[in-house]
Amino acid sequence: MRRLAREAGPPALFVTALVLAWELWARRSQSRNPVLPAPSKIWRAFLDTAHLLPDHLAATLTATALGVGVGVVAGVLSAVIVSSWPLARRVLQPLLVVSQTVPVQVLAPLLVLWAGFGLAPKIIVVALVVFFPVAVSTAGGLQGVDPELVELVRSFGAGRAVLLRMVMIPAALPGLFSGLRISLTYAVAGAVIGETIGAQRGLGLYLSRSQRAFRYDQVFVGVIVIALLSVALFSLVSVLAHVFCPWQRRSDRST
Amino acid sequence: MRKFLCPALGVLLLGSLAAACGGDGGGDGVDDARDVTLILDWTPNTNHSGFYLARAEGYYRDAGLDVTIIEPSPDGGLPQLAAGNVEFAVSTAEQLLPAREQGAEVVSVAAILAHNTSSLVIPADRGVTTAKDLEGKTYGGFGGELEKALLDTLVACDGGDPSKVTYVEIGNVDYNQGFEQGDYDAVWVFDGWDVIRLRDVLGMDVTTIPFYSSLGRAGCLPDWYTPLLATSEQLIGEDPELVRSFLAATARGYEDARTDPDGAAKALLAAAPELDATLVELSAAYLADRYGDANRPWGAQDPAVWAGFAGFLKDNDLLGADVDERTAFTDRFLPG
Repeated sequence: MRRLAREAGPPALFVTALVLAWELWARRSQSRNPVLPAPSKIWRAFLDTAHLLPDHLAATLTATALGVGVGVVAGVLSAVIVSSWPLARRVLQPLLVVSQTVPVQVLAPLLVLWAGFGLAPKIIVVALVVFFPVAVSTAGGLQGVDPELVELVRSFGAGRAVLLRMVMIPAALPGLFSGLRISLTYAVAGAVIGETIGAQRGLGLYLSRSQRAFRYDQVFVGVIVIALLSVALFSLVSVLAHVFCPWQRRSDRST
Repeated sequence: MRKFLCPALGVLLLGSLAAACGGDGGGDGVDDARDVTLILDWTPNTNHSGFYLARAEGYYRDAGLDVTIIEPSPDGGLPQLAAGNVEFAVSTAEQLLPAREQGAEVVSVAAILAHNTSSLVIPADRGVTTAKDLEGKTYGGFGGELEKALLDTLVACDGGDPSKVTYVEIGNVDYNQGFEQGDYDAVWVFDGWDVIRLRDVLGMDVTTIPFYSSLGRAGCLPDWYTPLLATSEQLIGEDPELVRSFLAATARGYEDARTDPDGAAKALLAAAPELDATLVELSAAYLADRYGDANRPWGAQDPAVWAGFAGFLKDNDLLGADVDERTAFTDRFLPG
């Protein structure tokens, strides 16, 4: 308990002070058009629109989860292919990089044109964002496998399946999870961008409607919800990494 | 623990596929009804009241239509319409004519507002009352050659020198911030939404120079249809009855919006509760008289308006001389 107070105390105090200063500043500045509304006003906007949020949140979460699923599978597959065949690496590596050079804001309207208005374009946007960090860091893990270890396991008569289970997966998992942690912070943002285009539901829709109606208090509500969602997903991956990579726990704690 | 990994990944993969293939039905789930998708030109606003009213009042359902309303990307809904992904799109004449020039077979089938409600809006403390007063002032634009041509014409027809107006591009930000910070003096807005917001919701003292009021003065701006309702030539060819029944139900919605602005505001707010209720109610009241000219049905388009606007675009090299605006619109699907 005391440790919790010591760890959480300073950031909590800092955030409280920041919010208080923000509230005072927003109240004192007699702006007719508060693009930076007071926290109390944002809170009221949250209470007023709270009944709308579950629906939007569910839509965004669905697009995010499915996109992450597709992105992880694609990322791991590319990592396996790239680290298994040197030729594949030479061919695919530049393509993987190119896949990240087009801003999603540019890509999203095109995807809607090709894939329609359903979940598909949102899933593709999220998958594209997630795929690259996962592929790169998983491939890094796989390529870092000690060849002598592979020889050793083989010398005990292990087949491909055992090698995969005993050596390759443990080598790839930490990379996969750290790639996932990086990409999840972008994944929600990707889904939101997808939802500002051709959507019927979702936090992106909530944001763009609020913005076009000049409801900046609601815009902040949307931003905060998105931030909390990202933090929650980030924490979820940390928990998963803790469960699936037990041998990493000590090093986790030391960082 | 590790041996669960593969099944876990497998389930994740299958789950994603199943959900992705399942799709999202959309629409209101009416049996036997024909699915129709309408894509808007912007987030929902009072220009769209008639569609939301027609849906809320069941006019579409009575016509055997299950209408889904989609919000667009910043480039509007015409690409979707041309690609055959939607049946109808809310658009504008300045988007539709160039799209036709590019080969998109899209046609305007109704004017949603009878006249252009665009204005330049200027904070009153800038001392601008006419377009000529913009000399020496700064105009904050969203970018685009049409905007420049419009402003130049507006200033010149008022006897001013357009080259003395400074242009800055403000992009997609809230114009009111730039007013407060003094970055620019005038922007192009819509009377029924932005001017009401500034004047009535925020209580600002602003001057407006309406585009439409310059009509009839030699060398000034033409009127044009913004927004309008468009469909594709393909749909007109394949299923003209669908176009007719969608327009009949939509026209009922807009006729309701003309007589019952409160009901129009309610229907819009029910569909898009994120909007600002005060703004929506004031705007609905303002637009009630503007969906159609007095004693004329909603939707009617005037060939002279199309000709005037296409001529303006061509004079300013914004549209190819070979584009025939007479094929860009038709009133034959309107009821009555």
